[in-house]
Amino acid sequence: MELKIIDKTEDEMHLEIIGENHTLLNMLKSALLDDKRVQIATYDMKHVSISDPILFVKTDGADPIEVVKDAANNIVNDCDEFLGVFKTAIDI
Amino acid sequence: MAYKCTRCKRNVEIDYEYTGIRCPYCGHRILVKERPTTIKRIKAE
Amino acid sequence: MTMEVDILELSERSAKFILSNASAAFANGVRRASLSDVPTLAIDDVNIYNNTSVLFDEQLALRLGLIPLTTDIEEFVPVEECTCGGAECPACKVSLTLSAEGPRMVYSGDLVSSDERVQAADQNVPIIDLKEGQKVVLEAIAHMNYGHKHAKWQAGVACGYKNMPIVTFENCDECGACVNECPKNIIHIGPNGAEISGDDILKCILCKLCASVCEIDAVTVSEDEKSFIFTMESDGSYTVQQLIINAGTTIKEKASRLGEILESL
Repeated sequence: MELKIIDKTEDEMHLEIIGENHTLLNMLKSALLDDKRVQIATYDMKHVSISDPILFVKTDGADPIEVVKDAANNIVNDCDEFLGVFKTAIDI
Repeated sequence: MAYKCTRCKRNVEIDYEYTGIRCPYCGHRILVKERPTTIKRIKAE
Repeated sequence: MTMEVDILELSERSAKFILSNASAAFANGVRRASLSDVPTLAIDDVNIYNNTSVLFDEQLALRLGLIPLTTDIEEFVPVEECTCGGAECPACKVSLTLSAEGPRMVYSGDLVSSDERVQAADQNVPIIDLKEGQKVVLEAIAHMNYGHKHAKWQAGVACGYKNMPIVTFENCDECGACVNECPKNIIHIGPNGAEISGDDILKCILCKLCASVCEIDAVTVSEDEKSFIFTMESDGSYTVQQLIINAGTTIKEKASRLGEILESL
């Protein structure tokens, strides 16, 4: 995974996430939209197999990098929670 | 180049200049090319 | 709200479970990851020494590639990610040999592996039917890779989910129209009109035929947007439990990698 910040202002950011696809980006978008600071979160992939996705975030003034970082941490927590409950469920 | 006559099963050489595609032993006109003994590497896809 | 997992069916190769209090994006992430982001072993290169069978070398190689191989995800790495740099070390390559002479049917179980942990997941996949005098001698080289590269590396097959159906009956006049219309035959007339009992609701395919056929609009069909009925099936590379855990772990790794890169900016 490689990141390329295409443009960034105080409350907006276009971020290209090289080598990723809908799997991560859709989760990231949904995690961002759950955040109260985020006004717009969306992503675009020009072509499903040859393009890299570009994430667009607009916040109410918070640093977009911080917001995306928090969203990524939320996904990690979600995964931990899922792995935890799944492992306990299959042990029974 | 190794070819094989389908009638007399002998290995034959093709004479491109004079007789053309024809077995020099039995005169049969169907010759097959044998599979080379080299290892062939192929992508499985 | 914390996530909940309720296992309905679980066997070596397939699982059915309810995931509740999760977002649609998370459910879709797990589905997509188990189809395309969990690495597995499959035959990638074939060295053909002799092939006098009726199949072309390329077709034979394709058939070999699609055979599922048992994989230990801890023991192998994809070639591109291996420390050997593509030189094919034992951590990223397994060699299998096949040597057979007709007349007989050659099965996946006839592949002889150089590593005992890596075997054909099913012993009875037909590869080729050899007739009298036909011969196949080859060495197959298996590599680890991801499902998004080629379908032969797909560890999860038939992975999907649907939302938990909610069907309610109000002021039912017991006309029985919905009972006859339901393609899954899960509606029956109970003491208080039509009802769906117990786990039968899981069989509902949300076709809404019961709602459309009801003349007094007593039936409403909706879905729980936070609850998913998952069906997962593994090709035999891993057990289905490992497949799901690996899918969750890959998403976690991707997300934490993203967090790390943003941290270092």
